[in-house]
Amino acid sequence: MKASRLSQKLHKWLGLIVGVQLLIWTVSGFYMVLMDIDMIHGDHLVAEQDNGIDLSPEIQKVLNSVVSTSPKATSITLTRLMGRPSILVKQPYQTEVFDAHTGELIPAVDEAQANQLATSYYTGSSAIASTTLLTKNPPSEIGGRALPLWRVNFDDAWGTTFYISPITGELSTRRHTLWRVFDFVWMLHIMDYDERENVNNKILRTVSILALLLVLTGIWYLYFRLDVRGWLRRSSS
Amino acid sequence: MTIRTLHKWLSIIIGIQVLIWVLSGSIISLLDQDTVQGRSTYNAMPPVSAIGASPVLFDITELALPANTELQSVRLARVGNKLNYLLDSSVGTLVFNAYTGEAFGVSEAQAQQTALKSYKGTGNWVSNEYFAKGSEELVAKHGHTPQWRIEFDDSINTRVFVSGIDGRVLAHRNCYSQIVDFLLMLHFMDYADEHSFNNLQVRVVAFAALWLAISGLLLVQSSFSRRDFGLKTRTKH
Repeated sequence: MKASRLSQKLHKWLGLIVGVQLLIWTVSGFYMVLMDIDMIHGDHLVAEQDNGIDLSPEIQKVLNSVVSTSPKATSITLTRLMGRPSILVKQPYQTEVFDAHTGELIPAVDEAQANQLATSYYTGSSAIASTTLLTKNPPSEIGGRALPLWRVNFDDAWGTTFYISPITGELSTRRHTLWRVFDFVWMLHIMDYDERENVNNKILRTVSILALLLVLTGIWYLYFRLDVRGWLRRSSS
Repeated sequence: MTIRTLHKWLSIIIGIQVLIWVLSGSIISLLDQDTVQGRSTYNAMPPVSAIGASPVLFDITELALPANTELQSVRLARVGNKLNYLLDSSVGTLVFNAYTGEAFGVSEAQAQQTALKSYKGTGNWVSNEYFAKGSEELVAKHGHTPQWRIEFDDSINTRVFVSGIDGRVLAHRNCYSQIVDFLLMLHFMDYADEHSFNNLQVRVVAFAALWLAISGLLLVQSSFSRRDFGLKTRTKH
């Protein structure tokens, strides 16, 4: 078989074998480069918070007393939580929040408060569609984040979901439809259909090598189609 | 214009980038990610020890902060065996000794010791270097914060980065990390080194690639005949 015929045939057969994945790569790749990554992260959904704190001798007093009663803590943080200066105490299996002015323990966030916090973090004006306290079976879209978390769904065109910590009231993460699509096309792009994170999987390795051969045979065939050799000969004579 | 001509012209225009995509993607998939991301040499650090029963803490209102510094949080935690205040502020992270109020600095010896503890590879220590404005290798993730780089003489050229602010391990990197950074730059067409895949050139070429794949698949569909699969052509009865 002549080389030009062989290159065409190989290119055609490789196209049959991996052509569909090439289309999936270009569709998923195009989606990912087109969508602004900050928008995918949902930055536009979250209002800027006033998170500054002022130091004062009273706060120091409360801090000292919290420190003296929490010897097992691995970190004690003065920060603004739920709109007020608070002290966050992290122990190996427990996290507590105290009011930085009074030293009182702040109880866990209830549903009404979760809704109120979600609305305060939200830049939109849509209503809340549903609020659920997740305590088991973490959804895959929150990654490795620990439960419990309040899941607050908004009734907006973005399909916005806020995840709020019932202990600190912080916005743990946010998700929306375009993020979910991104995560799905990322899975298609790296061909890891289980965990969506392992680029070393056998399927991707095999198909990408075949795709490499597809592209190389395509370039080889193009060399004949464009008559590169004849063109070089003519231009040198 | 026929589909065949479209496919030919698109491949002439963007063929080289398609080759770069498939080649860089294949190599990344073939390189072991545990090595690339430095997990293969990383020795998990022991959990942070408890703050413990503390004597009198330094007054946080007396800390020597630069003028007009706005604080977001003050965290009390152990770094090594020292109890420190770690302040998140408008000028970055500031660290002070929690008993004396002295500004905390990470000494070369401390950085080296931390790096050695975090390293489980087979190499020996080679050198330490301080980057007051951060290393180029970590700029995407850690900006221009001060860092120590501790090098080892293993076969993959491991270097451990230790924060010059709070002394924690920032990253284990090696020659493969560097290769993958370069391949990703090519994959994202991120020639301006913006650490982004949302640039104009990649969007334009990805759009063209989408049509290269669509036309290719249409050609697969139209160029195969029953004979290609060893079947007889349909005959009329």
